[in-house]
Amino acid sequence: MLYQSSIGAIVLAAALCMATTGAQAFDDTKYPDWKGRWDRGGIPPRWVAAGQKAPLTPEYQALFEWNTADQKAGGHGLEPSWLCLPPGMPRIMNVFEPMELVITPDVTYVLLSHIHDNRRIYTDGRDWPKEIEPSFKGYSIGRWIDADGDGRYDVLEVETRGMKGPRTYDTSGLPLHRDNKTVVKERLYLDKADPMVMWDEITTIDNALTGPWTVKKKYVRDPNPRPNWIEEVCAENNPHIRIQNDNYFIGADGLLMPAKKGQAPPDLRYFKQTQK
Amino acid sequence: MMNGYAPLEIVVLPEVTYILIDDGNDSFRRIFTDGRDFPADAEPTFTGYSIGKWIDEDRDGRYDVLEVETRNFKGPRVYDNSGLMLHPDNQSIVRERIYLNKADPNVLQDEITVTDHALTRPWTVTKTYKREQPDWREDVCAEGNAHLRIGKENYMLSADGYLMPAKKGQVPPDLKYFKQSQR
Repeated sequence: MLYQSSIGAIVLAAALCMATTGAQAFDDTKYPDWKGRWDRGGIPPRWVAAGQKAPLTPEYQALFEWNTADQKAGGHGLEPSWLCLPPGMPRIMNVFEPMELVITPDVTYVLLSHIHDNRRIYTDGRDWPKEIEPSFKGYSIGRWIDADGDGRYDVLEVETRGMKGPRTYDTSGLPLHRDNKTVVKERLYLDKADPMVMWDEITTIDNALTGPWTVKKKYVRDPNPRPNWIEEVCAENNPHIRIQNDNYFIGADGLLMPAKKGQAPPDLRYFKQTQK
Repeated sequence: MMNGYAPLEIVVLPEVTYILIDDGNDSFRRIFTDGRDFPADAEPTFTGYSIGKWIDEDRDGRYDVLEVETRNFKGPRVYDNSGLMLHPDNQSIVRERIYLNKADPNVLQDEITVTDHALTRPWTVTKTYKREQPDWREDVCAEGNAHLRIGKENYMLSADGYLMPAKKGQVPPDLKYFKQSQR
């Protein structure tokens, strides 16, 4: 057996529930049972319900209409996930892939195997940092509420700020404002009549909207106590590529293809003339 | 994953230990410590399927070592960005012993033993991690990624967004699917 010791100043920030000297054991009876695998409630991961319309400002309604026309023509419009860019908030809570919620006293983790969907919701009483480095998922602070007064928390209220873009609500390309001043407020709780159902009331405050917009997302718990977790890797077999500002497609034979009717091939100016 | 390319966070719960890695793909591991066996038909993944066991090695009434075995991989996988590769049959077994350094509880060590058909024998490497104040950054591999693959060739995107060769003398991609009139 070969042994090799590799020592370096590799950074680890260990958030241990129980293994830190002097730490108290985690009393999970204070918190709701949110264990297991949560799937979106049998509905497509869209933000706007059928027959409804997003409350966009005229500018962003026009942008959305351009986006829809571009998608119909074979483009991606404003939708960034085809490049494996993260969905960000609030789109993460479409729960495109199964979700796990891991509750610890200081942080509730939202884990999804999708595209950078994992979130940390800090419940340690912290204030907003003076400076937040923008991220697609934003910075989330939460507060547990015992709404029914039975001595056990049942609602997690969350506020998320500090996002970057581009972000859309879903694959339709419904856009959030490019100024990235979005604030997302959530209330997560189990359904009172059915603990296998969870709700997330998500209110988005964004300058592309005419006013705060609340959408209620439903998640359904897998009854299997040892659920099957899927690994989803966006970059694996992704046939979409971007060259300059155009999207192209990689065919099944690996060759470059147009994504739109009549699309010109990419400019090959950096390849030697003799090789054309 | 355990190279520590990006900061790790370890979340210990009775039935699962999570290792969250804020790298370009937001990877994370679940190490199941609920006494389960390896499933007969789990789908292969890049992270594999990990089962762990807590050990109280110094018999002080508190667990101090997490022994882990991981199987059920898919590929391609390499050990690091030198391209040192694991066998394409993906029959790797990875065993780990994870513990705090006895002299310094702000140092974590992971003795990682890889059993793989690309090796002449099991290979053990010890990785060391240092505990720091958390400062979580989002690192998105796809953002600003200038590399792309067309067929079996890798190319690059220039700073001005045009397709560029990645190797000296590289030919451009075959454009046969584009109409002749547009070339």
